[in-house]
Amino acid sequence: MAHVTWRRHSDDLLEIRNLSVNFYTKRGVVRAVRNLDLRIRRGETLALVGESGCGKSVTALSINQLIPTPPGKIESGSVIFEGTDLLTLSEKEVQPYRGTRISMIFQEPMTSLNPVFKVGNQIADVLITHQGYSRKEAFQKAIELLDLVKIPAPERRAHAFPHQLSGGMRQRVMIALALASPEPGLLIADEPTTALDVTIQAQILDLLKDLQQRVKMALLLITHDMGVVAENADRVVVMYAGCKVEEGDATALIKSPTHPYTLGLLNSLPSNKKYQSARRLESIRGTVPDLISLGDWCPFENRCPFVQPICRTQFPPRVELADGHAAWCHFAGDLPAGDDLPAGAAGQRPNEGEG
Amino acid sequence: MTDDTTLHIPEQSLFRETIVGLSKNKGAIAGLIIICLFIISALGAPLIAPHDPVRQVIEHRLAKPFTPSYILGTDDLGRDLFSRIVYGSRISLIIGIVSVGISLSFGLIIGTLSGYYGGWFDRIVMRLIDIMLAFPYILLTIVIVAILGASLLNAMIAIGISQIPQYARVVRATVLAEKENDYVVAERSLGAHDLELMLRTILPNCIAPIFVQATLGIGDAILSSAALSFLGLGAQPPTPEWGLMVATAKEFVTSAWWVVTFPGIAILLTVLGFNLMSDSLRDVLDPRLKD
Repeated sequence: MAHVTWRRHSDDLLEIRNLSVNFYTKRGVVRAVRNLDLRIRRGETLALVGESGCGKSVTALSINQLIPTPPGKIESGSVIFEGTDLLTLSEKEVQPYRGTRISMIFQEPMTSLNPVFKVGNQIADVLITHQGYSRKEAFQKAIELLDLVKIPAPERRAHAFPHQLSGGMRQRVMIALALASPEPGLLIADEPTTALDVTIQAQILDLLKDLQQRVKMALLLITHDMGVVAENADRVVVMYAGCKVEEGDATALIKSPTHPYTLGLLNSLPSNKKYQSARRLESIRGTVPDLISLGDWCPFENRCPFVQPICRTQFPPRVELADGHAAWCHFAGDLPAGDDLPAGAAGQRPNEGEG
Repeated sequence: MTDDTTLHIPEQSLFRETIVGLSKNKGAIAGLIIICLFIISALGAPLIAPHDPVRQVIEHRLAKPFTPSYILGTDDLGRDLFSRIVYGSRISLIIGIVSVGISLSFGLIIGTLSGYYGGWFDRIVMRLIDIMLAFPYILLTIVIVAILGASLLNAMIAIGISQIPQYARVVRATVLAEKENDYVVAERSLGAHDLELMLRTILPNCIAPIFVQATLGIGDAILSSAALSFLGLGAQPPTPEWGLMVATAKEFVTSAWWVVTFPGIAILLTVLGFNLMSDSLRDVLDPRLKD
């Protein structure tokens, strides 16, 4: 192959280096992802956390070159998957990776399945394309996959159309589709549980975890729910306005969050303790800044309860706090810990913030 | 399983839903009956027609209708009108299928490529389509026939070509709407390439409006070919084509009303049948009108 190859960390499955993605709209250039670095090791679960519009999904779609171009454009960076830079590949060359080594699950199970085909046939089609099964074998295998994702009565469900299934069922079908590859390496789950209700969320996440161990694949879990992170992730990357703001092991990061944004996310989580004390659910005041008019300073300055003058002039450096745990904040390590947060600092809910 | 809310999967497909929807619609039933009669007479013409459609019996010329030997009377050359109309349905059916076949296949290719790829290709193609649409439809058809020469086959080709813009537009619009759906990205993420996405993912979802357009198109094509034959640019005598029958008999309209009336009614009913059908199909297939 003509493209450049890298070998650095042997246990790295995917390494994203210095990725920048822009969208050219009529209003101006939306800087969706800025100089992002990301590493996923074999078999691990990496959670990518952040609010809506933080560039999580754009990052995920960039891996496979699924960004709609135009208006999107990958400006710089490399996505090294098993030693190959996927961004240097042409559409034709990247296609063999899609659905085989890198699979995706989407947020909206209601609209992510083709409405005019039976779900069994949709799975079978993928098997025929990637593994050369005959139609009959493929349909049989599709039923097995539906069974694997714990759909009851899979022989009958294979004959159902998507609109005849509930949301949870459809998400299971989506997972079955992603598993219809010979050797899944990386599964990208883009908010797989957002459209589902809470009990089913837990089932789907358990299923993903179970399958991950069974087929030994890495999982890039994109979510805005810190609860999901705590339950499932090995490592966490918190994104804000297209940049990384904090990364680290899941347990360490949740135990001692450092960046004010991570703090805010964790404080916005409903918990039994809070309900007992009859406190209102907290939110981070303000909204994500307009990605068109971003300056070269800390993107969180307009919402940060601890903001200082320097935050409005300089982009914060990476501050290493512990092994593998780092934050991009001028005052990382100097901020009060999660529980000592001044009342209402990150959790103000006055009229000015619409959250 | 807590999410097992759909234990009983109702046996409903788009086909079945459509049939049920149509059976509740009076217009659809009327249209369907007309279309069925039309197709039966086209397929079984030799069995239904009592006489040879081109055999002239001069002593029986302009015989009055509603008699046992000539149900609808005879024309100025003594040919049985009923037999001619029955055989004419055969020609009309062929005209409908061939012209719609031509315009549909070109319209599908142009519309799908244009809608799927967009960009400069789409812009150029759509401006060409706009130019075609700027010509009055019948004028465009006449120009094409004039270039190709007057015959029934050329009339069909001309009608087919001049109908392409309508189909290309409908197909492009539906492809544009469908390609934004999540399942298209989802299937792309599963490794489907452009051709697969167009043919297997997007087009099956565009069938409803295309089908409606095609049904309407058959009626249109029959009407246009009658018009062309009437002008002498389509079927040539002694072909029992409805438009031609009206044209050749028009001088007897005052003395023998039936020679003009019955072929005219045949055209009217057939076109009405297809229009009723396509209207009802639109109602049944349009998801926005579903409850």
